[in-house]
Amino acid sequence: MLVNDILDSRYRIWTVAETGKNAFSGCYAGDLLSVVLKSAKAGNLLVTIIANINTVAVAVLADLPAILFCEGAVPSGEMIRKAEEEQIALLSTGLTSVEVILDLVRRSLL
Amino acid sequence: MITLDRHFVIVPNDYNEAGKASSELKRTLKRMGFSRDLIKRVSVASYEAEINIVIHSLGGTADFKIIDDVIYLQFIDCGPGIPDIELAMQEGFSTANEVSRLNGFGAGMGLKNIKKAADDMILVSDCNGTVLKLKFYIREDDKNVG
Repeated sequence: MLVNDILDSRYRIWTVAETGKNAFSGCYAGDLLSVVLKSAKAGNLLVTIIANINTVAVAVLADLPAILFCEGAVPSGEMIRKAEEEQIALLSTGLTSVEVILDLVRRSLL
Repeated sequence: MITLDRHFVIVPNDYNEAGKASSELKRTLKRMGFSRDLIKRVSVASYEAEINIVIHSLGGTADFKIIDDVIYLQFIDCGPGIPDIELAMQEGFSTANEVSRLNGFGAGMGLKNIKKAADDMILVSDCNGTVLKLKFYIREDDKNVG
């Protein structure tokens, strides 16, 4: 699946359009970064409310192609710059993590 | 033969710079063509250790070396030390403050993740500071993959 497949009126992409072509397979949802590091699989979409530069660092270390910030969390300019440097897509939505996962399953993206 | 020798200073409470040393280490290991599994184990351990110094210590250093077929990571900080290592090693135990938790840290998984990732781990701590030494063996099938 591609990051672009997720996008509709409820989701916004913050990084350059190119990152919308990032492929992901499966998803990991979590807000404790050590647990994300331990459990997320390479290629997963990360769904979290933790929007800071460390989230991007964790995505780099765990080979996660995209981060979806939920419940209205949005990335800072610094995060966007860092994510683009590492070719990671940053998205956001007002939905909760559970709503996101149910939505992605319903649309056969997971 | 020494094929990597890098030194980093880790600044306490600087969440913006946290993870910089580990990210660079990961990039270097990737460039050196090691397997994805080895790179993940080394970079996860390195990141957790680096974050521990940022969150809990008065500042410290990280040293990364590769000598022959072993990767050595050494983290030293200037205190205040871990009062009870056995307790700190327990999954879920954390002394991280509110700011750390808001930054997504403080799961109480750090040392446990490190121990699981490394082939060898030595942790020594007193009120003067903490020394963490990690060893990762490079197996034949970890080489020239990337």
